[in-house]
Amino acid sequence: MEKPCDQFNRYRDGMLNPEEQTEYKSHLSVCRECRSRSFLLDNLARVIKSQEVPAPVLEITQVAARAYEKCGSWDVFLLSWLRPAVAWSGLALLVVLLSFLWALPAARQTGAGGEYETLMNQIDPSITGTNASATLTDDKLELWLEQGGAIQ
Amino acid sequence: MTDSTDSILIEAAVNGDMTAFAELVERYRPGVWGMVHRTLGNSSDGEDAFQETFMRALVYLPRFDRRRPFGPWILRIASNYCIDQLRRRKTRKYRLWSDLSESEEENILKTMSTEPNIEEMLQKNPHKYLEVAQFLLSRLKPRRRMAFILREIEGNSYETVAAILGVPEVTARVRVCRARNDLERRFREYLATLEGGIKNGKAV
Repeated sequence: MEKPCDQFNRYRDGMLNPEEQTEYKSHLSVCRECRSRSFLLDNLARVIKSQEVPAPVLEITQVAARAYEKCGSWDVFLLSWLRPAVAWSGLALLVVLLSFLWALPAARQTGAGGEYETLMNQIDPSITGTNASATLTDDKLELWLEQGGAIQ
Repeated sequence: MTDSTDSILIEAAVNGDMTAFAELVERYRPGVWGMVHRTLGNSSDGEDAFQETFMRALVYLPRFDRRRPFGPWILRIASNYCIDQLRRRKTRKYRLWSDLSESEEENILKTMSTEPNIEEMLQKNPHKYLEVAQFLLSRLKPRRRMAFILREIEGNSYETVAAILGVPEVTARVRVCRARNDLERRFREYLATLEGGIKNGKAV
């Protein structure tokens, strides 16, 4: 069950029904802690509200003129059309795209076909007499590999 | 819905009529100025915030939905700016340049939490009370602080607080509730520190 002290915020926000409100008021008269919380908030608001708010030194026409002046610059114009969510999504998309482009050549190198090409190109032409992958047709190359890469 | 005269002024301002925009600034000056001053305190920061709020308002004015009221919209721009500024400020763990003695602070804090109405004492020492109150407020997280000021100080309804902060009403309620709890906790810690006789200027 909810303790009377837990109803403090609901009481302060006027969310208690009349019956609950009467109950809480009687609780407030005996609970030092709740009373202290209530006084603190009331007095804090009273103090802050008592603060004189001086009039701004800025002239209204100056404020308007400066706003139009700043508003005309291209960077402000650009930023005004770039909603934060759109900007972040665009940036994320760009990062993904760049990562993909960066990883693409490496994938080609490490893929099965790429590895085969690399190995073939690494074969010393002095052994085969020629660059096997470049000069042999697919059938002959297959035969050559089956024979253990014997020199023709 | 936006006031019909506001709507005319907005239309004119979007079309480059500076006088119409100046009229809008004049209309919403008290609300915006009061909010930035109470949140940021310092007058030069307040003036910057005031200028920046209206500059941003002018930039976004073409996209403003005129079926909605203009007041909460401009206050939301101001509150977002103030929250950004509060986040950038380095949080002070203690007050600097205070001429209050520990016993004075302790008395003020005790008075604030035990007296139902401090009007009379406040009139005698407004600056001292204000210094302590602003210090307690400054310890709140920016979003909670803004919600607390709008609700507890300015006395707005939760519907208005939510509209200004651009959040659902339930979020506004949660922020205010947490601000109250934080404030009370800070208050107790601060009082305990003073009662413990730790010199002013040490951790709170």
